[in-house]
Parts: sequence; structure tokens; C-alpha cells
Amino acid sequence: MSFNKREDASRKTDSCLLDVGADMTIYSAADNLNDIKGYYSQFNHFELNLSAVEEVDSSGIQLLLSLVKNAKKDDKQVVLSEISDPVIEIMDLLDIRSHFDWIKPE
Amino acid sequence: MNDETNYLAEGLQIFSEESSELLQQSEYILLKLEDEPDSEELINDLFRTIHTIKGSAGLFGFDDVVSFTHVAESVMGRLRDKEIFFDDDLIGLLLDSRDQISQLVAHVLDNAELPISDTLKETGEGLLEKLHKYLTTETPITSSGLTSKTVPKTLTDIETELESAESERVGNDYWHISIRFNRNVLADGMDPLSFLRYLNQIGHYISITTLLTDLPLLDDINPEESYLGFEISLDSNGSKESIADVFEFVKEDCQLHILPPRSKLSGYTSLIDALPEENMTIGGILVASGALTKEELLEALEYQNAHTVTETIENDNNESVIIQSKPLLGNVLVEKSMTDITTIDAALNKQEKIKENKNADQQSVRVNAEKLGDLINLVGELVISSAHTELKAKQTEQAELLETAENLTRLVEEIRDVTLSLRMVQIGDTFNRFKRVVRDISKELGKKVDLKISGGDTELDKMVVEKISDPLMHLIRNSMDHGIETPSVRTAVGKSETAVIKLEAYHDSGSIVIEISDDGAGLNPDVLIAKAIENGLITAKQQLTPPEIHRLIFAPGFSTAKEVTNISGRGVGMDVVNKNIEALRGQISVNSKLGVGTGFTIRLPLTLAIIEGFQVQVGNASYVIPLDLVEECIELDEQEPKKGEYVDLRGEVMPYLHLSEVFNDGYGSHSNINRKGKRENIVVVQYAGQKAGLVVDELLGEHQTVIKPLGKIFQNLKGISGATILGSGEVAMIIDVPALFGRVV
Repeated sequence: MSFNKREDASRKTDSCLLDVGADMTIYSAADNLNDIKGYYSQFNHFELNLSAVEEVDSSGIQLLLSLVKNAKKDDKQVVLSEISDPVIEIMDLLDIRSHFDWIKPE
Repeated sequence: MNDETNYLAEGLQIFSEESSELLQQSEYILLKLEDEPDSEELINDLFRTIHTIKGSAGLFGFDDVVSFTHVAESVMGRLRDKEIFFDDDLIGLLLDSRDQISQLVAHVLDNAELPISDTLKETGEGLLEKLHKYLTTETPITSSGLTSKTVPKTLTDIETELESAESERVGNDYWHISIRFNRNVLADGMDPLSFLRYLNQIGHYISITTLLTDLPLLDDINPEESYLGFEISLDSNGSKESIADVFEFVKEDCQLHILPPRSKLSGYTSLIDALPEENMTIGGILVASGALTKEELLEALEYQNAHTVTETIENDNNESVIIQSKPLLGNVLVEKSMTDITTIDAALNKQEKIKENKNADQQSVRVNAEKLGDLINLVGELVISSAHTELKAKQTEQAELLETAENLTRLVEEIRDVTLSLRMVQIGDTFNRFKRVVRDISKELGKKVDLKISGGDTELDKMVVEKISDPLMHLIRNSMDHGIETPSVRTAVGKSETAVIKLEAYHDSGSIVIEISDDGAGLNPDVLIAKAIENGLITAKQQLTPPEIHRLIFAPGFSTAKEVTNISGRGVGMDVVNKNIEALRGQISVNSKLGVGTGFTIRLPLTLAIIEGFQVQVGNASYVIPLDLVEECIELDEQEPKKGEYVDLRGEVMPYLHLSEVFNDGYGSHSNINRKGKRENIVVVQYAGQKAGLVVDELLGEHQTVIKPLGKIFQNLKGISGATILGSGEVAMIIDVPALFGRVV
């Protein structure tokens, strides 16, 4: 599984923390989408921890953007945290930082 | 993940093959340019090869290669545009640059993670400095605010500048690029991001807007399709061509619009029109990215409305019919400053080129050498197996079975021939590589040498070609260093100033012959003998024939050069050459005349895998003699007195030897008694113009022989070059005729 829910008792029931896997490329895009869809129906508040992402291509970025777009429509919340360097690089290349909500490292 | 690594490795493999081919081509072109520096065709070809290398290196993100190649390409661009012209230094400089690119490519292919070595970096910097001199020489500078400083102007740049001098321009100094990738690009293995990264290298982004309008929600998204679009404002000194080339690999899978800096407003109008998104959306983005000002946008939209063409045509009934139409696409294109006649021409040329390339693609298929090797091995097994089948069929004595078996054998033979020919390549490419060597060394040594090549279309096994290249190189270097005299010496002895080295290849009775000859000083027998005595190779009393004297140069540790140069003369060389050639089952001979020149003749077998053999029996063992070498078979007349081991072959004296004695066959001596009254046969073999006889017990006939190499233990066995498996499953030794010749002749 490429998106793993971190068990965290302190969280509210409608909120989840997802650890995103290393591969956010076309090769695991279908799996990633399935995972996202699975969690999306269950929760309203998502925190995506991107610290483990090693590789990301446009399919991976598209998924994130689509998730955010979807969440906006349904009034759900998606925030990103611990964004890894490869993801930052892409976000800056495409100048799309402003599309996401971040949790800034403390 | 595994798929991905494979995919990447495959891509790199293609890059590696392609770039080495292109680099070789560029070297060839440069050498040709030396003779005809004004050939536009050659300069264009050169530019194209280097440009392609840069392009593919850029796709893989090999920055070191790209940044260096870019400068070299720019110089070539100026040559192409006739802003500068060739001089001797420039050709040398470009050749050196080519070498540098080649080194850089080799580096990134081997260990892309490591930074380039200091020496490589230094050479690179030195070359860049020299290259920049060719970029900064004075050129007519147009009076525009947009001049590029160091990068040469290509035609399109100048046009852009001219255009920007006209009125009705937008006040934007940057390129505007709109790109929408088709849905399938990701599935086709291309990542839009890599193109954007590359684009960021040939210029730099002023702004980029990622369009999400097409991006579906989670329920509708196909994760393997591409939905993103980009509006980019780019600061670049490159030409429109060079920007469009970034997207070369996806040009059929995307909608690409490139507007040069200070385009006509109408260009933006058509852009807004052509893009799939709502006009206002695009308009907003253009304003936001600074491509247009608000006023300009309004004007553009107005222009768009105004240019809905109203035509009044009188029809047959003299009624006026008003036809409203949007401008025709072609008109729009011409109006767009982005397409002027030269760009259209360039586009057409490009399309034609692609067509040509496609044709070339159809003529040849790239196949992994390993696969070919596997195929050849399998065919080898097939040959053995069919021999077995034929043998068994013969034993049953059923006519029908025999017939089918024979048919099968014939077909297998054909398959074998075709398969082997697959691996045949022309030796010309290898030969052409020496042109550069000759050029460089002759410059270094101050000698004038002309390399004449003939028979470049002679084909031989790829493996042989690869392995023969080094020995040939050695021979040529030797010949240039030791053989050929300096121009002053040459004129003094009445030779023409320019020496000639001939490189020739041709087929001769089942082997390929490569001759290298020069018209230099020739080998001096006295010097050779003196040196050999000094080295203890021979004693002063020994009387040697001229061929024997000449062969001394192949002895280990033999060097006659008085001074050791960095080209040759270290005493390792000729013996290594000899060994390498023997390893290929070939032979080298030398022929020299003092003052006239030296020639080397190399004979090589056509292939290393399967040969036609002639099977013979000696004692209980079977042997195979390569059929190409077999001349005829005669009876050995035992009555004739054994004077040495010579026989009278129609008035010719021919030496022979008993194979049973050569191989010390235990059965051989024993069967001598059995053999009494039985006739022995002589197989007459010919090699390199000489004949000799091999005495065998029985002639078994033709046999297709799949050569199996012998293990390490047998490597030093004289007289045997390999083994093969017979139809019956027995092992037969393949006789190394050239080696046996050494014993009798």
C-alpha cells in the first residue's frame, strides 16, 4: 500500500494522518488513487505526510491536485506536512505551492 | 519499480548507442570538412548531430553534457549562418570538443552520480574558453533592445528582432509558451515534467501557470492520463527552433504554441483562440504571467471580434450574400508573427527529414547483440542436432526418411548462413575511425600522411571487427612512427612529400584479408638482426631468410626505435598484435623492402561460430579440417621412398605430416600395423599461398562444424583450434591448419 493510515488515538474520528509511500510516479499511480479514494470516503480531514516520497512525476502531482480540488468541492480539508525535497522541487518547477495547504515545520 | 528501472536502463541504452553513433558521425563529418570546408551540407549535418546529442542528453538531465555541448553547438550555428568560417584551429578545436563531449557522455553513462573529474573539467574549461572566442567575434549588431550577448543569433532571432522593431507589438520581452499535453503522454512513458525541466535549462522561467481546468475529480480521474496544461513565460536567448526542439519527442502528443518576445498582438489573439480553455481564463493567465498588460488583452479580444471576416459575395441572382467567417487558419498562421516563411520552410524540411528517418528505420532494426548471440548458439545446436538426425536416418536406410532428413539439413544450412550473415558488419566504419588517428598523429609528428582506404564494404563478423580494431590501430601508429620518414627526408630520397598508408580489405578463400601498407622506409634487416642478437633472440651465427628476419619484429620485447615516443616504441606492441590476431584464429605476415615500404597482411576467418568442415579419421578419433582450406585429397603412395616427408604433387614438392604422429595418437602407432595394406590419404591444404599435406586414415566427408571453444587447460595446445560435436555425439578436434603449417613449411 502506498498510502498508510497512521494509527493515532488522539485524532478525531473524522480525521486521519496518511503516510505517503516513496513512489508517486505513474508506476504506482493506480494503486495510489485506489488508496486515496478508499480513505477519502471515510474521513473529512486529511493530513498527508510527504516525508517519505522519493520520486514524483506529473501523475503523482495530478493526484494530489485532484484530491485538493475534490476536497474543496466537498468542503473537506487536506493539508500537507513534512514535504520531501523531490516534491518541493516539482512544486516549485510548476509554481503550485499556493494550491496546497501546508503545515509548516515548527 | 523494477519496470521503471528497466525502462530507464533501456532509455539510457538507446541514448548510449545513439550518442556514440552520432559522435562517430560528427568526427567523420569534421574530417571531411577539413577537405571541403565550404560544404553547407556537411556543416548542417554537423550541427544536427551535435544538436541531437544535446537534446537527448537534456532529456536525461545530463547537465554537464548539455552545458558544454550547447557552446559547441552555438559555434557550429555561427558556422552554419556564415558568421564565422573554418580555419585549421577551429577544426582541431571542434574535434577536441567532440572528444570532450564523448568523454562527458561516457562519464554520465558510467557514473552519473559522481561529479566529473577535475581533469575533465579543466579540459572542458580550456575548450570553452577557446570556443567562446568564436562566439564573441564581431558581428553586425542590430539596433534593438533585445540583443543576445554571447549566444550567436540564428536567423529566427534576427527576425524576431526585426519584428520587434515594428509597431503593434506587445511590451513583453519574454517568450510565451503554451503547452497542453495529450492524455496519453504519461502512458507512453514520457513525463511532461522532464520537458519542463529541460526547458528551464535553455532559458529560465519568468513565470509558469499550471492549469487545472481539465483535471477531473477523484472519481473521474484516470491516474495514468495526463491532464495538466502550462502557460510559461520564458527568458531565453535561444531561437524558436531550439525552444520547439525541447518538445521534439512529444510534438505529436501535445498542443504547443510558442510566441517570440514582442510578438504581434494578433499572435496572442490567435493563441487565446486556439487554446481549449475559456478566452477570459486564458486572458487572465496571460495578464497574470505578465505576457500581456490588461490594455493589451482588451485590445486583443477586440481584434479578435473585429477580425471575424465579413465578405460580401454576389451570387448568380445578383443577390448579395453575406458570409461571416472567422479568419481561415492559414491566414491566421501567416498573420501570426510566429510563422513566417522561413519557419514554415524549416518545418517542412523537418517533416521531410523525419520521413527520411522513418525510411531508414524500416531498412534496419536494432537488435540486442546478446539476442543475436543466443540465436547463433541455438542455430549451432540445431546444426548438430540435424547432423545427428541425418546420421540416424542413414542408418535406417529408409529412402523417404533419408529424403526428408536431407531436406532438413539443407534448410538448416540456409538458416545457418542467414543467421551468421546477421552478425556480419562492414569493416568500413572501423577503417574510417583511423582517419582521425592518422590526422592527429601526423600533426604531432610533423609528417604528411594520406590514408587510403579500400574495400570498406567487406563484411565480417562483428566480434572480429571489434577485436581487430586495436591491432590495426597499433599497426597504423607503428607505421606512422617508425615507417614513414619526415617530409624533408622523403624529398631527399626522391619520394613525394606526402606519404601514403593503404588500408585494404578483401575476401580470399574463406578468410578475410586486411592489408596495411606504407611507402615509408621499410624494415632494415641489419638493424633487426643486430637488435635480435642484442636481445638474445638469435645468435650471431644463425642464418635467417628475409621473411624470418622480418618476423623478428613479432618477438616479445622487440623494439627498434631508438627513441621511445609516446606513440610507439615501448617494446610491447607487435607481439601483442600477433597474439590478438592469433586469438581470432588469424595470422599476420609482414613484407618489407628497405627504402620502399612495409606491408602487413592479416588473414582472419570470416566467422567465429560455425564453419564448413571436412571430417577425417585418424586412428579412432575424428578430426575436422576447415573446408575452405582443403584443396584436394590424394592417395599416399607407400611405395615411394620416405625422403623426409615430401611428396611429389604433379611435379611440385609438397611437404606432409602424419596427423597420428602430430597428435601422438596411441591408437595411431598401434593401427600402423593394422593399416598395412590399407591406403592412407593425404588431404592437401592450402594456406596463405602455400600447400601442405596431412596424412589421415580415412576421409569422412563434409561436416557442418559448430566451433566450441576449448577449456583453459587446452589453451596452449598447438595444432588444435577448437572442438566440435559430431552427429553421433562424439567430440572431434578442429585442426588448426595455420599452426601445423609452422611445422612443415
